[in-house]
Amino acid sequence: MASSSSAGAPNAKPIQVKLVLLGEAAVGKSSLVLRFVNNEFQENKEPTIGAAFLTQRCKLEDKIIKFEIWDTAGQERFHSLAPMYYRNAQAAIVAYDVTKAASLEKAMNWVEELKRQANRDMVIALVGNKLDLVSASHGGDEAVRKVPVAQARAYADEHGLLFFEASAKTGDNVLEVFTDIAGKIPLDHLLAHPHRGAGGRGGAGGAGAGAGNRVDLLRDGAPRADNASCAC
Amino acid sequence: MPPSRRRLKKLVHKGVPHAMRAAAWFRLAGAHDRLEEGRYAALAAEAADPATAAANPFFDIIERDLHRCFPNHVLFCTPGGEGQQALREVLRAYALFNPTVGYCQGLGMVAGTLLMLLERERAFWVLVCLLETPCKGLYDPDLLQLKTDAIVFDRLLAKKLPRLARHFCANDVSALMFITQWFLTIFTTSLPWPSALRVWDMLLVDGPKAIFRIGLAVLMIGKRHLIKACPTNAEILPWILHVPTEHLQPDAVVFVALGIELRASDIVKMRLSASKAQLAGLV
Ligand SMILES: Nc1nc2c(ncn2[C@@H]2O[C@H](COP(=O)(O)OP(=O)(O)OP(=O)(O)O)[C@@H](O)[C@H]2O)c(=O)[nH]1
Ligand SMILES: [Mg+2]
Repeated sequence: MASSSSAGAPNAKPIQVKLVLLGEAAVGKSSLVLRFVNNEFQENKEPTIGAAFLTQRCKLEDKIIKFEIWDTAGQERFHSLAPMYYRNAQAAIVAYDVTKAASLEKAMNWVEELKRQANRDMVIALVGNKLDLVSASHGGDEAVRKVPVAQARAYADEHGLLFFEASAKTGDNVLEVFTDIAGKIPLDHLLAHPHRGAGGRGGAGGAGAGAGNRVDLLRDGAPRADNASCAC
Repeated sequence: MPPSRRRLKKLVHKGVPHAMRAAAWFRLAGAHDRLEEGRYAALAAEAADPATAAANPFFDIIERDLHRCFPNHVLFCTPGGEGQQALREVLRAYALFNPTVGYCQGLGMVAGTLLMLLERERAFWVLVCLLETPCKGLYDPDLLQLKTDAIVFDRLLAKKLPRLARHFCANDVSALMFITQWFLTIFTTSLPWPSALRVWDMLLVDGPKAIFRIGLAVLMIGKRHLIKACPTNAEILPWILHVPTEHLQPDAVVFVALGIELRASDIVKMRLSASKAQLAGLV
């Protein structure tokens, strides 16, 4: 098992982190995962029906994290299935689309539901996706932005969430979302209480990010998801 | 069952010749009798009215799905092309025709499949028939039927594939995690295309039991691999949600499915019992 996971890590036993993606339909949840897992982007990603499941490993300091990702369907109709996916999850990415104001409201509803019903020490990241559409450097236009950064950040701060604006299309900030989440999860606790089945197929880690150093990661152009290839 | 019906079923199980599929599906679905002259044109006209578009909550979700539905198919790959326009019209017309269901993700794939074979009006009426008969309730806002069917599927699995059922149970894998995708797209996103078409053939003559049998057949085919090579849910789930196509060629899947003993009346009984358990809060 897991041969490639020995990528220079002394502590080779991967730590499993269950992560769930929530957010309105078409904000780009599947695209964020696809970028993280395969470093790919598809212009016309098929809608997710029910939920998709993917895994990806990444390296954090000397540990190997194995993300088990539930990518859920965004349509309101599938809402009642969500608890099945966020139950037992240690982390959540709640995504919205920076060009759609209503999608932030939907994201806020998810955050509140998670605070009420999910794991009490769940690490939650609020992610505004499709940043490329509002960045001139990517041919976007700030005028199409419907969610001001300040508003989303203030909400995230108030609720103790990690916060990012990202683009699944260009890959901006995507890896950072996942590494920062990994950095905030009490991994030693998980290591002490490993849950079922740590085995599985390998995939070498991405950027070796320390906890909470997202700014550094952004600036030093740490290896992007190119080397976060996955064999899963 | 009259002998002629039995003969028909046998023929359809062998696969409707593709050249005849459009006509056969229209007939078998009962669309021939269900079609109301002029109704579709009226719905399409209403759907094209900007005021309707602004007021209908489903139109926006439909719009976001149009370019994401079979994006690699010639008919649908061009933005604003004939395929996407047809899909928009049929889905909007359906949302107006049946405001309870409106639009549910998955229906794009169902309508898209029909539009590959039939022109808009005929596709629309087959869609109506599908949702009134073999797929009744599956797309309702509460997804209650789907949840009931997940219980039924879990119970069938325990009966037909007990070892696999125990393996799933030990790994917290339950049917609702995969039948949502399988059932709501009627296998169009899970099986190789020729196999999916055969599933639809079966569904139209056998009713809902066809989708249960196909689902069980997929797991039967994958059983060895799932038990031997998939020790945890991290291996089981990706396999079930992206079944490797080489094992699922049409004749193989249909052959295994038809070998599973399951009567339409079994499904009726099991659904009843599952929904009672559900209402009583037992599951
Ligand atoms: N410009 C741009 N488009 C994006 C980005 N991320 C996703 N998209 C597009 O937005 C559409 C929806 O993306 P998905 O990833 O399928 O969205 P989703 O949230 O998974 O949607 P559901 O599965 O329906 O809930 C697709 O056409 C993507 O190509 C992004 O960062 N920038
Ligand atoms: Mg998706």
